[in-house]
Amino acid sequence: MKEIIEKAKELLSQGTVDLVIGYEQCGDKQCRPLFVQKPEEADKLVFNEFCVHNLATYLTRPEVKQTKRVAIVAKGCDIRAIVNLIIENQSTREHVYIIGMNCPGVVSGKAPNPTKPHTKCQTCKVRTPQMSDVTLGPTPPESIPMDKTITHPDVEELKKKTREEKWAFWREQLSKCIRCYACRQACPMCYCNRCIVDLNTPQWIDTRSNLRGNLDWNIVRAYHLSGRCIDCGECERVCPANIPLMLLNRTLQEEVKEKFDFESGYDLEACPPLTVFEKDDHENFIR
Amino acid sequence: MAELIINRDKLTQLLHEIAGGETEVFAPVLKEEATYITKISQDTPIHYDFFISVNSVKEAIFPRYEPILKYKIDQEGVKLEDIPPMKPIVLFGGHPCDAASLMVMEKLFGWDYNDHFYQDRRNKTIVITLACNEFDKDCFCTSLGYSPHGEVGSDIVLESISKEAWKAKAVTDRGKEFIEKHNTYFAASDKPDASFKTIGDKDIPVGFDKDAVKPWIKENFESEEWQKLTSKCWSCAACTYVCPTCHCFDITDDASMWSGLRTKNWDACTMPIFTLHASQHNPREAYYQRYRQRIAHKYSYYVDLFKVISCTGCGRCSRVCGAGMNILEILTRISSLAKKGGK
Amino acid sequence: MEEKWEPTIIAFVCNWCTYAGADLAGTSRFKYAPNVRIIKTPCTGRIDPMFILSALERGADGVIVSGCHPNDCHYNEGNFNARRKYIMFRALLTQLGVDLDRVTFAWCSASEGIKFAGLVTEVTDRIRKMGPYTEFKQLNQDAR
Repeated sequence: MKEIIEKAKELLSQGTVDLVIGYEQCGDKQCRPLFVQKPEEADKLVFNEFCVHNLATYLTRPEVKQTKRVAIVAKGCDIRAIVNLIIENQSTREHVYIIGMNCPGVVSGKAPNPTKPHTKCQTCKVRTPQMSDVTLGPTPPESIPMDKTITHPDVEELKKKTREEKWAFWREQLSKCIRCYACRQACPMCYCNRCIVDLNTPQWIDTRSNLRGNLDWNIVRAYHLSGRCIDCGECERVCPANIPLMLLNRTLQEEVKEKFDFESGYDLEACPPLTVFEKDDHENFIR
Repeated sequence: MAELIINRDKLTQLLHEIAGGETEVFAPVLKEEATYITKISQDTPIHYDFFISVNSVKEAIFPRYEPILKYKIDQEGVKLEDIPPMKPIVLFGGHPCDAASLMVMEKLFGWDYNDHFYQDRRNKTIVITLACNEFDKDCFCTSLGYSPHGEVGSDIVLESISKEAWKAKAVTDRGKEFIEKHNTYFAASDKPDASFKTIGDKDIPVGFDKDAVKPWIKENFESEEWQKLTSKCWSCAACTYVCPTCHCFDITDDASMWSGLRTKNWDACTMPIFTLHASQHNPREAYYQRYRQRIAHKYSYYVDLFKVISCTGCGRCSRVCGAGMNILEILTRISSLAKKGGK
Repeated sequence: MEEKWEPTIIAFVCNWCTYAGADLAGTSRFKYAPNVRIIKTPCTGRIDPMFILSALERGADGVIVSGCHPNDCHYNEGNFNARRKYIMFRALLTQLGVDLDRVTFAWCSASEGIKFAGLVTEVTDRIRKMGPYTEFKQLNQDAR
């Protein structure tokens, strides 16, 4: 796409930013992140339906934080991650130059045959980026209105199952986990310097990839993302074991929406629900 | 001489029969649209229509975690408990790159210390390899001197003669014994189906000069190129855990008041915690340093020790990487830099 | 003689209210089920959901989490934060198929010795009827 290349060249040559993080094509139906530090390297930049990665995950890296200013090619959904990073003091609005992309939707499924439209795109409220320094790309189809409550069919289906069925389902799914932590590393919201699973005094979570460790790990990760997950689906995409991790994250998103009327990543002034409280929070489960 | 042929139904029957006994059988299984080589039972459906499994065959011989010491403490003192002896294994569904990887890994586990957990399993394993009929842009076995029809490390190689049947070739004596023992499943045939198209060595292009990589790594450890090549990497362990030759492990103790268990777990140099010192100093602090270690270990340090590259060109790491790191591309770049004398 | 199975209940309680309440139950000579093992923490806000998982994995058949009533927290807001955490944690456990009847949350003040004794006895009776929680214990056994 010509306009991204031009914009990146302009930003780099004028010295507005010293790094542009964008996408490049790497195969017929595959894109991947690209770091551009010099104007002449910007020619590889593209944007299309295969640009599924959430590049905001790179913003919390030491070498990216050390830059004077960084430009990032971001879809509306990726900007939600940037908003959360700013709220959580991991980045500042001034440090990030957001090249917002109008986005008609991206694919999901693994290369080389990604076909299905991404689940997150079917419920997208931000096809036009909500907060960007420049917005590029043709006008996308209309987004779902902001105030609409989203439910996910796969989550609802799982909710209908009996407790035993759910347990059996997750036993089967989580036993596949090999504990490569691709989910954690790809996640823009997983930026802890030292993850709980890497702590060993005390060792809360078994580091072996047995079911006990896998269950604890995936529970803890989902729980730590409650009220913070921005539904980018990167964890599920990069999982080499194809575990439907978003089922857990989306369950918690729905719960946050229902109990606290909150959706993360849309408002720079908002307080994440697990950092605040109301005196009359729902409590009929407590005796 | 007549060739021995086995078809899908017979092979499935054979593997299921073996799985019913004392032997562990590993075979390709379809899970959520992807194929994994896992331990099967008598009734697990075996999936044949796949190009390459997501995980590698190393899981059979070098499991994700395994107990190496068990003890109990009672009033009389500490008592060691027995670790059950390794069961024999039939390992089906790997490609020649997988089989070759076993020969690479064997060297490490039999080096300064004889890792009998690995060696016992390896010695009791029959490797039945499927010669390749397909390849993709991430395959590069030929660059490393291997072949899509290679026999290195296999006991039996199965070459497709049609969509449903293979020509079986015993490579080792153990492979021969295996076929003789189960000869009722194999049939003799004189006329292979010549119409079946498969791939040859020439189809997979040689991407780089494998001998040029090591000297370049030795001389350019601090090259800026490393950061350029690996800036995308986000330091998970997906690549190392699906790699057939990555072999790093960690030993952990899980002890309670009255019992304890020591296990050997997979570990990965790509993860930040791998080299973290107790002082919190981390000699491989940056992302690129960790990926550099992965490449340098495979193509330089391992070669120094064992005269063999710790990579067989399966391309799994490239396929699994969520950030789009491509090992073939990196090696091609290194090799071309080496040719030009660049840094 | 066959030993009768008795449930193991782990109670995570806060230092300022429920622990004092349990103490009051003791000094007032109220009887409650001896199946409970009380673990004192500074505040309900300190009771990480991992504690609950760990307890279930290590052999608990039921877990009680209890602390100060809303507005009574020694640290002003620890229990309010805890309440939000448990709302989310419960939703997560429900979706995972963990038996939520095994995990009881309660507010129990320093003066509510009777409430604490009643709570423990009631939970113990309920868990006794439900039988051992084998699902999590199995995980632990498989891991050893």
